[in-house]
Amino acid sequence: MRPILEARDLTKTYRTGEGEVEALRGVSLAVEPGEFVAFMGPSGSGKTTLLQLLGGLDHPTSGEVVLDGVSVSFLDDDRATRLRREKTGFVFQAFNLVPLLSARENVALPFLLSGADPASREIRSRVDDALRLVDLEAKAERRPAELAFGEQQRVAIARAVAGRPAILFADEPTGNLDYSTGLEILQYLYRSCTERGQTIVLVTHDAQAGAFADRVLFLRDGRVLEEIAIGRRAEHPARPLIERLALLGQ
Amino acid sequence: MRAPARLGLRILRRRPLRTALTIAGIAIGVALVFAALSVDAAAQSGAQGYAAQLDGRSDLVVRAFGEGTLSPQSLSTISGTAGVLATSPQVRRSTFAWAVAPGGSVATRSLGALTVVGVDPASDRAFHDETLASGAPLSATDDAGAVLAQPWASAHGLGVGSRISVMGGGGERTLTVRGVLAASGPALADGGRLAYVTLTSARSLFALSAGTADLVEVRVDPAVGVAAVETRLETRLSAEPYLLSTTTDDAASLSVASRDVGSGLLLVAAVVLFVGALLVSDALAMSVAERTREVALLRSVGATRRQVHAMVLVEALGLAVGGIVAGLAGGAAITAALVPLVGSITDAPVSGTPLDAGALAVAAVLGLLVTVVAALGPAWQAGRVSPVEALRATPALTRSSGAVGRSAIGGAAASVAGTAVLILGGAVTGASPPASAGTIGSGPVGTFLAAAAVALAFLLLMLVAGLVAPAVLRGAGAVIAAAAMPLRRPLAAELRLARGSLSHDPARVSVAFAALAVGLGLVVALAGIADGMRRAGDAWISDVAPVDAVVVAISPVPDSFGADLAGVPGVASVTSLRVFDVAIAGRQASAVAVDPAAYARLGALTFEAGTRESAFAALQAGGAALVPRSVADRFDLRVGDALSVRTATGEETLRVAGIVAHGLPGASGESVVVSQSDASGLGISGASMFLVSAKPGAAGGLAAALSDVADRYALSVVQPSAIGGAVTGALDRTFGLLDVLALAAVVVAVLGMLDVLLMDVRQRVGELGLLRAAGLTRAQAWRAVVLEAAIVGLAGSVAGCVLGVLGSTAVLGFGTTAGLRLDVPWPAVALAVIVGLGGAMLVSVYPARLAARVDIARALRAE
Ligand SMILES: Nc1ncnc2c1ncn2[C@@H]1O[C@H](COP(=O)(O)OP(=O)(O)OP(=O)(O)O)[C@@H](O)[C@H]1O
Ligand SMILES: [Mg+2]
Repeated sequence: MRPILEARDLTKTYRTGEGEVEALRGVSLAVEPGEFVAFMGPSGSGKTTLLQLLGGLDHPTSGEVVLDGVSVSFLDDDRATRLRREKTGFVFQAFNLVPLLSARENVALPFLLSGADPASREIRSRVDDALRLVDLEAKAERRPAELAFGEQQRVAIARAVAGRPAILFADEPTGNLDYSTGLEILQYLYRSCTERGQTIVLVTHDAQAGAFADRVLFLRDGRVLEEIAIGRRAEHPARPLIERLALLGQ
Repeated sequence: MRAPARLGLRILRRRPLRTALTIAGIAIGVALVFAALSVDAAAQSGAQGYAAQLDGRSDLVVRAFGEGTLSPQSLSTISGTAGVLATSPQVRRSTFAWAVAPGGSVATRSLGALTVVGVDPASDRAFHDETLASGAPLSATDDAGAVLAQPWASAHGLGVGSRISVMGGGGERTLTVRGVLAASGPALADGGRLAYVTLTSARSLFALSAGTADLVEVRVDPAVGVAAVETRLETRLSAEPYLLSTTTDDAASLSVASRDVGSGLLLVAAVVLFVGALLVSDALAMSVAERTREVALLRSVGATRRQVHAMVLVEALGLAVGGIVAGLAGGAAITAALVPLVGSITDAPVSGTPLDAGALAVAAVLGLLVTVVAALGPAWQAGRVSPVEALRATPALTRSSGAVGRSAIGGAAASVAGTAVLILGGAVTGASPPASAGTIGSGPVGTFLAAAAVALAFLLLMLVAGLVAPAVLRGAGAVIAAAAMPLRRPLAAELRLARGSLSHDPARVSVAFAALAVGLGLVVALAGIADGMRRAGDAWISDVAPVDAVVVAISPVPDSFGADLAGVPGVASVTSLRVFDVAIAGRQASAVAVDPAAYARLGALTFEAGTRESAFAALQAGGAALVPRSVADRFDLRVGDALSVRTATGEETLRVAGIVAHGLPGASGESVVVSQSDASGLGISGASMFLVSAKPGAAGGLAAALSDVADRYALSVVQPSAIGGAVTGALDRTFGLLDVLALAAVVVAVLGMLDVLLMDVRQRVGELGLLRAAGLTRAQAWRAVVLEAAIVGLAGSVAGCVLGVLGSTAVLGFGTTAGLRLDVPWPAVALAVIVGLGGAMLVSVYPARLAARVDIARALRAE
């Protein structure tokens, strides 16, 4: 099968006042359709940077990203934006929602931005579908400020999957949550993967989160240090992964 | 205390653009206040200097009443009065002049109106210093010579040796120019249209008896004093009516005109400064809100509440100092530009750009005070930030709805404090404090009340604006959405974001909205008031002179001239009028003699008391008068009352046969209407004006047709509206000037709008990053910001227009008995909408660019 996402020899160098920071030093990877991949690694290892390059939010210093057959790294801004709108969904650690829009409107946002009529039956049903996936139909009309943090993250997941994107990127979506709420969020992500065949790339430094993935890429100093295959299972025990990571000095 | 000060200043440096905007807001206000006070001071001193130049060394002037003269007996009484050091009698009359070709004897070229001044050269020199530009001074016996004033002479190509012909009651005379006076001293009067001749020559030109004069200039022994001499003259002069005036009276009447301009300027300047204050208050409040976390952090590491207050106040102080320095420099430039303009509005020429020290001090103190008072609210707000906010994940970036009220109260408090300084400053510099628009400030109490009313009205306006802002913004959003209907699908996302952002946090924009509304309201109100005044003038003229053209004479001409005018093709009727001065109950007033039947046929006059038929019949029968409302009020007259009028040549008691809404404008207000036969009993005859109606369809070419005959008799043909006086021209210029200044308030408001949008974009960087990640294009981000500005601009314009129309209606309704009439000054409304909407959208381009250029990766990390 052709990979849905492919990165070839990505590097990223940030220029700062004091000099240059090499955040990525040559990363190559491939993600198959329907796969759930997690990036782990210590703080500063380049996880967020990698995710942003893969999602077309930033340009690499060198190397190339191919998303669903399209090379995203050197698209102009408008094309990159359209590609994001049509082929990707994002969930960040916090502030995922536009405060002035209701939960439903936040989920419908990609459609609104593409100029589609959010009131049309087709789009309404897609939005309802997505809300149902995260069990939030009842609270669809609330503003983000009126939702619990975990619920806000669920709305973010609904938005990320509503457009049936080729790939969903999540950057520490459970970072601000308590243990059980975090677990709940992971369950919803996992459910989108199993029920809808959603491809997911998750950034986390929590082994419990990583344990939901089919495969974990461990980054350090801007390189992929290790690839840990987990495979799909009904249970997601964290212990085996923790033991593997411990071997890496983590 | 030093650490917070350094922090406060660093905040200003960290946000250079916002700092510059706020400084610009203060600077424009300070500049206008400084300029208004400076121009006022310049106009006042100009008026005084002008009066002093005209009056020379005379302390008192005794003038003959109306068209009468002072008899030789009066002249010798005056010079014989104890305390009078010297006198100089003058004949001073207006006439027309023609140039006489060299060698010829026939007048060839009309020179227009000219004031002939007959003097005794020797005694005149004791009163005035004359500087000759060329030629020789007038000699006492040279009855065929004349001395002209330079600007007029050179404008008409006249010089020493030229000959001019002048017309008077005694026939025509040819005079040879002996000398030309430089434009100074008395040669400034009447715009320099002056010809000095000997007394003898002037008397024979105007057919006056030997030894008489129109006026006498008097120099008083300082040991005796002007007041004492005045009293002595009043008891001794009894031969004929006269008017006494002192040099100070003249200067005072001259400075009234410039004082009105000064008041208007100051009023507008104050509003601009208040709008500025509001924006300072808002900018500081937003800056505090934005830094809640930072302030909390400072508090948690041990900064006291006082230190936090100091930090905000130092920030304000920095803004004030910047604003004051820039404002004073700008004010000096504005003063230099305005001084010639004001000179053209008032009678007295204003020259130089005296940068008044008092004005400078008042403007600086005002700028400082208004800024610091406006900062008190935000400082207090910052002091209340609790250290625990530092630990909260989401600091309260958006402001509560109470914040609008607080901004409004802060701005209003600053306005009240500012008004107090203006009044104090006015007292110190002697400049006039703001009077309420359109009226002349009367007395210190009235002025204070007017100023207090302005501040109070401002407070109310801001509070109301804060309250209605959400609703008006929603309405404007709906209007713009409807206007974008054809494009609705492609614009839907932008519209949703713009409207959502406005309704989500109306506090953020409602101050900018209110400031815009107040500024534009001022523009529209001023235009409405000017329109209303012009309309009232037009209505008045068409009431008293319902004709197609008016032919006016500079001095009275025989009634028979009217017959010649009636012979002009296209003329349907000619009615002759004679406007003259009378004394009613010892006070000067105006009267007009009419042919009652002819005047009634024109349909002139509106009766408020008494019926038209009976009143004109009584006028025809004789012994009756029609009294304009203003005169009736002044002398407390009712229909049937006896009215005793006096002229230089007679006295009569007339019965009031009717009260009319308006009378013809005369030298001393509106004229009492009497019949020609009663006028001749008062020694008044002839015509000073002819009302001409055209035959149907002939109105177009009437003026041209009349001017041939009119020229022959040295009459001039004018539009009926012109008899309203040159007032309208000055009115237009005054209001034009005020409108320009009101636009400055709009500029300040638009700058505030830019400030708000910049802050808005900065605050929402994270949200923008998120939207961009979710697929918002750069163009969409750009359009969302511009649309947001368009909504605020439209809302501000509409609110401003409503405010302005209501305001001008109230002001106009206050001044008339006719009741309220809602008139919309459409051009000004259109201008307001264009400036408000266009200005807001224009300044939004930069913040919109910032929004479009948000670096997604960085924006997402910042959260
Ligand atoms: N805009 C930037 N400018 C300069 N350096 C940057 C920038 N963004 C990231 N970096 C640096 O790049 C490196 C990788 O950062 P990145 O955020 O990708 O790490 P991370 O693995 O996501 O860390 P964490 O687990 O803390 O989120 C770090 O050293 C960071 O300091
Ligand atoms: Mg990260």
